Amino acid sequence: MMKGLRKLEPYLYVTPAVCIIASVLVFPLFYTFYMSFGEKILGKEVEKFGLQNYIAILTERRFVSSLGKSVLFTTVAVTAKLLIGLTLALILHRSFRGRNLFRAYFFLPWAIPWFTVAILFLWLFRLTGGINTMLGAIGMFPVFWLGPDLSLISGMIANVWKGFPFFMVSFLAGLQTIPKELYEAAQVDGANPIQQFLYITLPSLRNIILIVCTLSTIWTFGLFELLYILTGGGPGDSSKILPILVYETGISMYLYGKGAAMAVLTVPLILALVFLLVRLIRRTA
Amino acid sequence: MTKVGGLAIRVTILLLFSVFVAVPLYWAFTVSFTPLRDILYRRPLYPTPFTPEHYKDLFTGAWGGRLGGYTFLIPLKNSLIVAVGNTLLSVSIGILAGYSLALMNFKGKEIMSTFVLFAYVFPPFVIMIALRLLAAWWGLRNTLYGLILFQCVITVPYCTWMLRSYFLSFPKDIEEAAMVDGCTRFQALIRVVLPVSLPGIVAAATFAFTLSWQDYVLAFILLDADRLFTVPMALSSMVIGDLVQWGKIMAAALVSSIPPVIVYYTLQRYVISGLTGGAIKG
Repeated sequence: MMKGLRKLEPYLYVTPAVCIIASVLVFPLFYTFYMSFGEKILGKEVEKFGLQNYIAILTERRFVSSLGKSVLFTTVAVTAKLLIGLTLALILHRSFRGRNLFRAYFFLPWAIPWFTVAILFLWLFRLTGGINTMLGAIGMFPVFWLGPDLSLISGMIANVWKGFPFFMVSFLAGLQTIPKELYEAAQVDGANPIQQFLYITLPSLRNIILIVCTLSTIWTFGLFELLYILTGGGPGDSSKILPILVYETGISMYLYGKGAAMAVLTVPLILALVFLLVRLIRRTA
Repeated sequence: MTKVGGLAIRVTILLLFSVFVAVPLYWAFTVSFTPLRDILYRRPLYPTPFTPEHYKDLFTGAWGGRLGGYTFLIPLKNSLIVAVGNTLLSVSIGILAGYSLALMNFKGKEIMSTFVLFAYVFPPFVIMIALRLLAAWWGLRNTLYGLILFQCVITVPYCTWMLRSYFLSFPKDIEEAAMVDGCTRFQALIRVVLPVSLPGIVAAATFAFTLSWQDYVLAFILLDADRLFTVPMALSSMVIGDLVQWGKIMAAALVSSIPPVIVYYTLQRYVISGLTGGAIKG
């Protein structure tokens, strides 16, 4: 009796966590899947099962173009964050006076919540907002930052502003773990700084770079509030990334099944990224 | 020559990004300290005439927009209730699960750990529609306890994973010694493991608090009534409309960023290792 209880004990400890995650994540996920195959009207059960939602989505241009925007947004933003983070980490890894001050200062955007970031940039990018006021002060014409041509790019800029410090700080932590002797030996062998970077720094940081990029890709892809507050997905559909389209279709327009089907179609992509991340973290930690 | 050139490039890059980081914050300060009329019509580059009225308005005056009639204290109070409630709930759950996943042996432990990590990174927009419907069925729409529960989708996996990493470094023999002395497993956890792990628990709690404080999506799905809006909702609800009260919004946006900023700076080390699942030691 006692022994049986002992064996059960670990499960008892994880039960609350499992129950919570099951009820607010796993069950909703399955329900989304279930809804995506039918039509649901407010106050009624799901009915008329079939593939109609999927067919509708895949034949309309809207979903595909929105997915394309999400992929573009994520790719450009993550790449920019990676390059900026790596450059700043390499510069701030060298010792010079005021280095810690710079590190602390560049960390600041990361500490500011997304909703604040969105509002800060909403002011900056307005037609009579911060950037255009500054441009005007030096005699330049205002730019329509939140117009159909630039809205997605403006969103990327805001995303990079908040996101790059995470890359920088992670890389700085990684750079610290590379033994100095490696560089000394390379110098003795006559390797120039570029070779040292390519053959020592980059391979040593490989895992960290992969983890940080995968994590940031998942976050950036799933980010709803930045563009929702900044542009609302518009003007038109110009910055309608997938999370906003799912919200609009499934919640604003009450097309539950169709919105659910859109969400379901992104699940394989997200799962692939998550499994990649899990493997990377397992290998490193 | 190349040395001087390298230095020049490095200095230029640092200055460039210093400006990049400064511009949005500089403008937020400027707007929050300038009267609305001047912001809209004169468009000054720095706060003239300087006025702290927007900050005073936040706590005394009416908070315009859809929230007409309320002060900013209402959303602050709502956010505080939700964040504290959610922190208590998710840390208690996270301690139990993290302890079990780190220091106990059982079948399915690996799968369970992976499952928690999966939950931690899963983007909530995918289940947005289902959560909206379920909230209505479960009677959680427009309730703060509903939001406390829903935010657990973010904070429970986070706390569990972070505390698991923390407990993993706990010396096993101390715990075993306690059990030899006649402690049960649960007593060992409460009396031996917890006191020693207090820094990690405090870090997890503070971080859960900020995650909840910053949450927009779940509040957005769950809350429609202005009276119940948390800070992020109250702020963004003011943006919609013809006359946006920029000074007030900026003041509110800056004030509500203070708690996360303090937490991120004091717990910088934990933030990075926590977010990357312990793979990167900050």
